[in-house]
This record gives sequence, structure tokens and C-alpha cells, in this order.
Amino acid sequence: MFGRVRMRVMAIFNRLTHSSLYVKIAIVFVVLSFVNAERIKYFQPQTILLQPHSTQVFSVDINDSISESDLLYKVSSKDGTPIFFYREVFTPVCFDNKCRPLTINLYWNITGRYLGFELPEDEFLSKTDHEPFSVDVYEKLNQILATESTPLAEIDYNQLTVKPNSHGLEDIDAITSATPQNLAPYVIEGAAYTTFKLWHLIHGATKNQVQNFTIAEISSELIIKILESPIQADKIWALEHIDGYVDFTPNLKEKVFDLIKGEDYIVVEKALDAISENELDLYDVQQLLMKALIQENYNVKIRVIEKMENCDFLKDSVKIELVENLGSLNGQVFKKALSVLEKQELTSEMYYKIAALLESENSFISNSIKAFLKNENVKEPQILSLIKDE
Amino acid sequence: MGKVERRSVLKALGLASVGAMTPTMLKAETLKEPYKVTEKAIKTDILVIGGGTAGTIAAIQAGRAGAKTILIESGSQLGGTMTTGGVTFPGIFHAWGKQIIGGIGWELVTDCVKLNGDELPDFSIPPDSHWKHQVSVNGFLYTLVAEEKCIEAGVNIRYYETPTSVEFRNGNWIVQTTGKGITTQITCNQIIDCTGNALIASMAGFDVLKETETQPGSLIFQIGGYDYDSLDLTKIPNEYHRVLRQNMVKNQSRSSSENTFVPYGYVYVPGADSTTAESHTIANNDGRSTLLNLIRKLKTFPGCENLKILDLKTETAIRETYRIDGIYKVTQSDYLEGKVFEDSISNSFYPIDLHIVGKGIHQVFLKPDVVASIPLRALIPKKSKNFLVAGRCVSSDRMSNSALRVQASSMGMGQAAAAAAVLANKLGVSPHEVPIEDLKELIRNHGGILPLRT
Repeated sequence: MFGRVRMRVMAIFNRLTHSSLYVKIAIVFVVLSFVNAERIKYFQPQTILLQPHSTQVFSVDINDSISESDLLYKVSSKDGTPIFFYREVFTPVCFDNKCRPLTINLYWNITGRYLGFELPEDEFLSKTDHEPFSVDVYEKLNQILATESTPLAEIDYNQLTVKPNSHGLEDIDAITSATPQNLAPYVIEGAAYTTFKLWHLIHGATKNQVQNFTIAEISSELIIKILESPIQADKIWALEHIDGYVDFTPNLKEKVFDLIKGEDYIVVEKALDAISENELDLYDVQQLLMKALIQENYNVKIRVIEKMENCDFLKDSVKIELVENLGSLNGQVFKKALSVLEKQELTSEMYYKIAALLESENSFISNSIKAFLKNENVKEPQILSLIKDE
Repeated sequence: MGKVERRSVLKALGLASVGAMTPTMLKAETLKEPYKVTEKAIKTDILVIGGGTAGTIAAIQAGRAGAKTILIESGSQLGGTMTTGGVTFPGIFHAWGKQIIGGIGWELVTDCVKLNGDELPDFSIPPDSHWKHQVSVNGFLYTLVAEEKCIEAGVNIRYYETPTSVEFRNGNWIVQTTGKGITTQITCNQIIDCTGNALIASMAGFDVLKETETQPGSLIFQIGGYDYDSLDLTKIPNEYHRVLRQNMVKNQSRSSSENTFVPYGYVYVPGADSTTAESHTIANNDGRSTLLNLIRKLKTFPGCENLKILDLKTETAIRETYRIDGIYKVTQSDYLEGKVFEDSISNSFYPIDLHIVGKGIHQVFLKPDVVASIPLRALIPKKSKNFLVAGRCVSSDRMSNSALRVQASSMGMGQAAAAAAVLANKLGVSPHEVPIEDLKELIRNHGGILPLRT
């Protein structure tokens, strides 16, 4: 009951704020009512694991299938860290020429990732034949809503059933028309339009709004917290919001380099992308890259050496380390290491160390070294005699 | 500048007058000896036969690992299905938000993508259709980059040659080949059969298997000269809609990372078999004749009067011919369950994908987080010595083979097979005797991604 009253209050609030050209921000500290064992709720892993403390409500331009603007709630921790956002949705879903309300709270992580849904007290979802959803069906719905890449993104209402409905109504949970076979895995049988509507609400304009709110208060500390999320998509979002958004502080740097390890190469790549061109000139960054080049596996090494190709000036000790480790590199990593060195000014001592690899039993290595030294126009007589064509 | 010096400069620039050049040209004609086939004998550590999807990668891996390597290719360029066959859409290197096939195959693909200014799909988000994570590659670039990498790795590429006999003698293989104007005897320690048809395995006397009815081949082409959006599809039979939609020029050049169409069109060639010159000729004849009839038919539809054929690949690409009878045979249940063996040396990720003419494609998808794997034993024919295969002739039942045959999986197999051959050559043993942990380390050290046991 409280949920419905609160919703009506919020609807009035929404109307009051709707006419404003600017987003009006109202701060409402409420007793957090989203934790209620009686309610039906399904969630995905949370990005930020802090305890909720306060809620702010914003009137935002949404312009989705429900309204042009709506209220968006931001829940934060005691120290003000945003934890998640939610929206109270009240919308009709129609079937068989009859409409009935869908009342549901939708939740987003601060990265815009779908977090979950919760139904008000005594509310439940049902199929077109009024059969309430079972636990399995709720769980399936939760997974469908969490799936970002789905055909639902590219279709409109009319394509949800094999035959277009004749009602002229968009929001139909048709009982007479079957869902096309290719869409069946992506919708709840008997609740195709409800699924469709919810998916589009979750992955539509609100998602961008949530991300914009987070970006507006982004900091290196917040990025570090997001990077601690167990979810890859959160890590990627955070890594994509470093360069140009926040200072690359020592703590953040440490966190990013922690991710340039292991076997999740998508994350490794994004972590390397997060290091700006300017940072590449710094000694500690070059050192950390060298460390990764020496210690990590080939698939990390190749991405690291490609990053190092963008270094215009390697520090001397880094150059020496690269030269000394050349012999331990393989394949394309080895070739790219030579192309990194090609751009650098090398000393006679470095050339001698490189020339030692002319003795390698591996002809791919020795031939590549020979070609490199020839191209470098070295002056050292002993090396010249070694690379002379027979 | 003196007279002589000036003339030599002009000559070097190609600017010498025609009059001055004519006497030399007239004198250039000489009587040549009659054509004769030369004979040559060469030795190598590893012989890779077939420069297609798997063979190119195998040769580069062997060369980079320091083995003396020869690559024989009966055609004129590397890449096989990727280039000559025109399936410039290799997959799949990623599954469930993670990269599962890397190494040299991925290196070639990404080098081409970068060089062509293309974008990669966002692999972190599992797609609703598997092919959306296949990568569009410029096939011309692939040909060039593959050849460059082979040469850099010290691989001796021999185009236009094909084996006529193989014999295992005193711990080495003696392979007789013939090509344009040359017969070559190649003595090698290890053979990697990357013909796709298990041709060399069969020549060597190892058992090979073939289904009574095989999947059709595909002849790849591109058409244009019409505007799909302006066509009145009600006046064109349904069966032609797909080919018209998929072959529109605008769908072939992608400006974003997202694949919205498979970027080529094809006609099926039932029973296509590339094993012999005769059977491959028939496959090409059939494919070309089917396509020509299709073009003639399409041009009769309103709006398609100016339809043109813009590209046609050199030969019919093949899906299924012979498979070896290996020490282990990968089964459909192995594949669908993502079974990881002690000797699994590469991953594979694709639906069971059996093309049946007139009936569409029978597909079975892998369940979430499942990735299939390939054991070394499936690359080694029973009772063989110093012999491996890589690519679609991997020892497998028909259903698992319909998934294993795809390009990324074949590339992974090529790299793993070459690593095994390199170690076997070094240790003086057969591939199945190579210490498996040493093999895995070598694969890992060159970028291969090994299956994870859960």
C-alpha cells in the first residue's frame, strides 16, 4: 500500500517538475524501503558493494515509451559514493483489447548496467492468461533483461508476433499470435510485450542518464571502486572513463596495472587504452610496462609492446632492459620489440648486446636481428663484419 | 656531367630514346632450349602441405620456432578459404566475453583489420547471433600479410606444387612433388597435412573417412547495380530476397564494428570436393554455372535490370571431404559439453553447423560458458609416425567436424600442430611422444590460448 501511495506522490511530483526546462534536483532522504522480504525482486551482481544510506531524487528527461520525463532515484553510501539508481515505473501493458498496469521498480548500477527489478508489495507479474510468473520465469526474465545484445534491440512491437495484431494497439501481450521462433529465447512466453517493454526501459534512455550522473561526479577514487567490481562490463566501463575524465593518480595507476595481467585480454586491452599518450613518457609507467612485458604471457606481452610502440622516448634504463630481454621474446612480440627499438637512440653497448642474438640457433631471430642492425646503419666494426652479406 | 655519365643516368631513368634502344631490343631475341622439367632435391625439418587457413599459420609457427620449414601450396597464394575461397569472415576467436583463440591466426586477422582501418566488434558483449563476432577481413590484405609473415619467419614457400608420393624411410619422409616445370624430392622429418582433404594422410597409407553425402561447397560472389530498398519485393519470389539483400554493395563495406549481414553472398555447390584436380574442377564448373543462371534470373526481376556481378572468387570453397582416423576422434558430445582433455592444445567455438542443400542449416549451439577443445591425438592419424594434420580433416565425427572446420579453430590447430612438429623434430620423436607440458609451453609462448580445465 505504501508503495502505491508513494508512487502517486511521485507522479504528482513528476508533473510539477515536468514543465521545467532544466533538470530540477530535489533531495529527499527517505527510509530505504527497497529492502523488503515480502516483495518479489531479482537482482544481478552489484557494482559497488557499499551500504545504502541516502537517496536523492532527480527529475530527468527520459523521453521513452512511458513519458518525456520521470523521476530517477540515486542511492548513495554514507560517504556519498553513488551505489545504484532506480526508477518507479507505472505503465500500461495491453492485451486482448484490455490494458492493465505494470508497476515495477527498475534498478541500474552506476555504470548503467541493469541491476534488477522489484515489484511493490502484493504485486506480481503474470502471463496473458493471468497465470502468475513462477520463480523460474522470474529468473529467466532477470537474465533476459540483463542481456545487452538481443534481437529485441532491433525490432519493434509489431514484430513480436508472427501476425501483426489488428487491435491498433502497440502495447499488446497477444494471446492469439505466437512469438516468432527466433525471438522465443529472448522473451517470456505469454508475456512478450511485457518483456519487450521492460528490456527497452532498461536499455533505453535511462541507462544513458544514469551513466551521465555517474560521469558528472566521476573521480579516480570512484573509478577504483568500480574496478573492484567482479563484473567485466563494469571494469571495461571504468577503464573507458579514465583517459580524459580523471587524474591518473598513483592508486589508480596501480589498479590499472593490476589489470594488465592474467588472461582476460579484453580487459588487458582496455587497461592499456586507459593509459594516455602523456603518461607513456613517465618513467614509472615505462617501467611498469617493461615489467608486464617480461612477466606476463604472450597475449599480454603483444598488447604491451604495441602500447610501447607509441613511446617516442624510452628512458635509458628501460631501453637497456628491453635490449637485455630481447632474447626471451618470441614471434610477433620480438618483431615489435625491434620496431620499438628502431625509434630509439641506442648506444654502442646496446648494439653489441643486440648483435649477440646473431648467434641464435633460431634463424627467425638471427635473421631479424641482422635485418635490424643493417637498417640501423651501425658503425661498430665488429658488428659490421657479422652482418656483412656473404 | 660527361656524355657517358649522362647516358647512363637517362638509361637508369628509363628515358633513353626509342631509337637508341631499338638495336639492343632487336638483338635481345635468342633461341632457348626446349622446355624440360627440372629435378630438385631439398631437405627440411618440417614440411607443411597446403597453404590454406591452417597451413599458413602452421608454417609461420614452425618458422618462428626456429625449424627449417617448407610450405607447399598447389595454388598461387596463401589463405585458402580466407582468400581463394573468399570467406573473408573468420571466426570465432571469442566466446562468452573472453578471447579463446589467439596466436598467429589472430595476429594476421588483427593486422589486416588495422591496416584496412576497420573496427573489431565489441567482444565483451556476447552477441545474440554467433556470426556477429566473426571478423570482416580484407581478403587481399590477408594474402599479402600472410605471405610477408611466412617469408619473415624464413618459410620456403613453394607455389604451384603438389605431392605425388610420400614415403617414410629411415625416420624421415620422402615427398615427391610436381609443379610447373619442376619435380622436387623433399626430405623432411615431420609432415603437417593441411590440405583440408587429408590427402597426404591417405597417400601415406593412413585411414581416412568420408560421409556418403557431404555438405555443399560455396562459391562466393558479390553483386550490385540495384537498390534493395526500392525493390518491390512482392513481385520477386521469396527465395531470391535473401540473396538480393545480402549482396547489396552497401552491405559489403562496413563503417562500424557491428556485423549486420554476413558480408558476402554464395551459391551452394552440392557434393563439392577439392581433393583432386578433376573433382575440384567439377565443383568450380557447377558453382559457376549455378551462379550464371542465378544472375540471369535475378536480372528478370523489376528493379534488377541493371544488376551486375562485381566479384567472383577464384574457386568453390569446400566444407567437408575426408577426415583422418586419428588416435582420438572428437565426438559431438565432447564438443557440446566442452570436454577438456589432458592433451587439449587449442579451443574451438562455433555451433554444430551442418549445411544441407534444400533443408537449410542444422545448428546446435554451445551452452553458456561452454568452449570446446581439440586434443593433440585428434591431429595424429592412427599408426602414423612424424605426421600431423590440421584443419577440417581433424579426427572427429561428422557433427563435431561441422563446428571444428571453421577458420579460427583451423588456425588454432595449425599453430598447435606446428608446435608439436617442431618439438618432435627437436627431440627426434613422433608428435604423440612429445612431452605434453613442453608442447603447451611452446604454444603459450607463441600466443596460443590453451583450453582451461574446470
